[in-house]
Amino acid sequence: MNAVAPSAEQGPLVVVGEIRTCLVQNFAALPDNFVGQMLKVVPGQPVYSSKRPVSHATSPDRLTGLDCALASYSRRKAHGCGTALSHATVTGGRILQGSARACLLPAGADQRRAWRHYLARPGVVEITTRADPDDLAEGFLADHGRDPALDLGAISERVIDEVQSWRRLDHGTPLRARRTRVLWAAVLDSEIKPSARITLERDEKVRTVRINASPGDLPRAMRFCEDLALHDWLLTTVSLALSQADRASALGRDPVELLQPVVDQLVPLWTPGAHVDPVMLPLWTGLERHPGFTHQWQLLVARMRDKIAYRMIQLRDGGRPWPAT
Amino acid sequence: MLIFATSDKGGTGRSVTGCNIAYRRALQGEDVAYLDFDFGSPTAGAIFDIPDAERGVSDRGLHSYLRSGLEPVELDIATESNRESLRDMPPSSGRLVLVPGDRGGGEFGRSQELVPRCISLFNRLEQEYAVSVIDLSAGRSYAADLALAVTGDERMRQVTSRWLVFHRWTRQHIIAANGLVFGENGILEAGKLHGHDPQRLRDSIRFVRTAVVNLEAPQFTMGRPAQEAWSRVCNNDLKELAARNGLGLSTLLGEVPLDPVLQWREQIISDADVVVSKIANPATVEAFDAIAARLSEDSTWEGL
Amino acid sequence: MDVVFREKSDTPQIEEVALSHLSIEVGHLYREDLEDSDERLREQFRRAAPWIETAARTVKSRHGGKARVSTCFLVDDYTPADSQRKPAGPPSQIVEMLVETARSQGFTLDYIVRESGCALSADKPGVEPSAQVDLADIVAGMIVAEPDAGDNGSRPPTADSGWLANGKRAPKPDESAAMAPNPWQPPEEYGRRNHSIFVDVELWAKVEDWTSGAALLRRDFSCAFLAAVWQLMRLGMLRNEGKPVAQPYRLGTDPNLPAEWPDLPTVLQVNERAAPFSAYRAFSLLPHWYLPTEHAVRHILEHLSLDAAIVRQIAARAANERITLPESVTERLGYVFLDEC
Repeated sequence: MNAVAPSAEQGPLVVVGEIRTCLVQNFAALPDNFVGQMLKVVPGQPVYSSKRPVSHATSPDRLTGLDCALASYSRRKAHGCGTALSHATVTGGRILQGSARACLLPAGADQRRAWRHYLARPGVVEITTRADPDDLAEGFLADHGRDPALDLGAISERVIDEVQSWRRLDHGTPLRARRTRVLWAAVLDSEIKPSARITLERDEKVRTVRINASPGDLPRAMRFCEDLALHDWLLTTVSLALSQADRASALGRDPVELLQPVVDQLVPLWTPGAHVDPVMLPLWTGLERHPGFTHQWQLLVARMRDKIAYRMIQLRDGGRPWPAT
Repeated sequence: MLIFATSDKGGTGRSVTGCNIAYRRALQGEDVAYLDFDFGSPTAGAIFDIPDAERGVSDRGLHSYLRSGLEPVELDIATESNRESLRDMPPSSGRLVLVPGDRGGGEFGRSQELVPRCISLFNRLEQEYAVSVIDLSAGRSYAADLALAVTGDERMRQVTSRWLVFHRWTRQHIIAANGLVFGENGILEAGKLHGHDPQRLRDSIRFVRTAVVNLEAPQFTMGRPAQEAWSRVCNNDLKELAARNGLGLSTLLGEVPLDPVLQWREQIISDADVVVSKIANPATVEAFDAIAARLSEDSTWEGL
Repeated sequence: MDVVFREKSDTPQIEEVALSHLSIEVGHLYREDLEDSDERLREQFRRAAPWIETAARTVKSRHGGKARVSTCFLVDDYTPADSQRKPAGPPSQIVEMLVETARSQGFTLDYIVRESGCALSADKPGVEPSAQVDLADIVAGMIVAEPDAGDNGSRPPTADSGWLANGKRAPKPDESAAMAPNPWQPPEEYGRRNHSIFVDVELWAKVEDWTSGAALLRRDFSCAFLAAVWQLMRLGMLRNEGKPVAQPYRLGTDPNLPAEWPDLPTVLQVNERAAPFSAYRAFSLLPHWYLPTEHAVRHILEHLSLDAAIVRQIAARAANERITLPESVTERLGYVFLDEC
């Protein structure tokens, strides 16, 4: 993985990223070897994969050139030039994520340099203006990638599109799901105490994550955010399926056909922290305490199973249609 | 499911009917997206009464997406519309979202990126929405050709696409609608060039008659007998003409009665418009409801 | 108790390749030119010989007598029409001619490389095309277009047109506005100082390939692009999923070469005692008319995102050998463009 290798003497640095999560467009979950082929988006570069406890594969990174404004919380003008890194991940052959990030570093010069300078620093955007790390991190999270500032979401989205254009996908939709967005910003400083703050934004699809960590933890912080985005998507999707099922019941339709694929295909993918480095696990532990991710998940799964069980009993007792209430 | 709304000519009420069908489908409990592909004059924003999108949006509409890949905005009708009845849909309703066109969009050149871009967009909507209604402009438009190219692609073969051809209930419109579907450079011919199976494509096209005069209305039954008799003869002639032109009952999805609210105001007709203010006819809403329900009724779409 | 759970494929490895201090390209000619007579070749080698000696001496004076220097020659056999136009003489004949002519001019030729092997590479003779490594594709995948001012990621980079520019292209005059024609506007080099030197290089053309029975779009790579692949090979910068590519094939004392040119391995080692083919730095002795091609090569190289792990690995090895390497690969390339006399 082309991890950014910042040197310690630069002081605190900011890494910003956006993760988009969606379903792989295929009726059934993809087998591992298919995932491997689908994620070969850069010729000659390997796809990384692991199998336990759920299969997880990451495409090679690729670069996108940037020369644009950077959002700041204080609305002070900031500008940067460089590249963003992006890759795709597939979990359980079922969930696809596009993940883009850039490390914002002060530039030595106030003018744009030769392009090779930036290509030698993959994933670094050099800030040509004076900027405070906290201001940039919070600015990125508050801005949601609006024009004309840095838009990592669009880059993630394009990775997803590219991966999904793979010819062997059947493009079937086994269940309805929303694409969610997780914007994250990490301030990395050796003096800093590791912490995380997660916010569900007013826009239902957007969550923001602010992390403080030490500079060596950058790849781990990114993995943590991807894992968080994945589990948040699972919660969102299952809640959506339940509300669709409620609506279906209210209109006299059978909710089981909506819930069955969710139970079959998504429930086994709940493994918070499984692909996260032990260093980042305390953050997960914190989330489990409050708001209690796994607790919420268990409640949702139980509700789905209850609905299905209730319907089965009804069918057994004479197959009456779902009562319109 | 993708529903393409097209029409032989302008002035058929395609957009206003399409928007109403989308609205009804959402009321029936499903998440629905409405895409304004009428690049020449995107008006869906006005029909849904979204002030900032009346003639399309200034930024990030469908046009900019297709031209340069900028992610299009999705406007949630429940939060963006000025109309109370659209903001207060019952809890059993699904989400209704407008993906608007760009103000002053104009035409764009054919580039090889358009088809894959469009496929990405449709596939993404398909993941999230049970139904996407795509309002194409009238006639043999570029948007229609693009839609045929996209749905003919092998990456879209699992996605159900259906075509609604709107036409007024007049001689001219019946002949023109026939031409649009069956004629030279029509949907079937163009579809074949884009790899569609002609029979399957044909089975996925249905007609919607608009502004149909209700002969049972009091103005006819209580009016002058000669006029009533003459009207019935004309109507029968039209039925015969329609049947000869492949627009008969077997390909009919629904009839929308002539309703002043649609003609003059081009708006969404809510239940309140029928029940409370009584400006619209119950028959109009019933027609929309029926068409919306039939979009996914397999018996309606069986091969002919 | 601490438990370590590790899965093999989660930890990718970049294999190392042997490196010389300097790789000297002693010439670069079309295959046909070699077949017509050896006069052209003799001329090229005669002019190159003093520079080879100077270069080797310079390296040894800086890094000691054991400094590693290798020589190589690139045979341009890429243009597909060429291979069909003329029934080629057996490769063994050309190999012998190259080796002998070099010897007659007082230097030893170590490696012979075929340019089509920079598109599809093979490590040994007779590898099926399907089993060859698509090197040109690998390099094409490294291209990162330079952003225009204001590019914030929202828009995809302009489509893969087969061209690479170092600036903003001149806008097309608007033909539709006949009443008020737009005046011509110049292209602009990114990051220019006062004035632009605008470069736009064709990397490949898309051609229809009917070999499989149906029309498939195939990329026909430009000479400049393949020369860029070639320079990266010489600098040891290429791998396929971490594995070395186009490694030299030793001819040995009893050359049993394939009769057909396309069956040759990409890099043929013709001197048993040669120093490694790839090197920290590469130096080329080329006829002066290669100047525009090499300018294009440098332009392409400056738009590639090289594998950071390989870059780090080579930098670390250079540091171990107390060699200072410039950060940019283009600065590791040196040239002498030879004139006609």
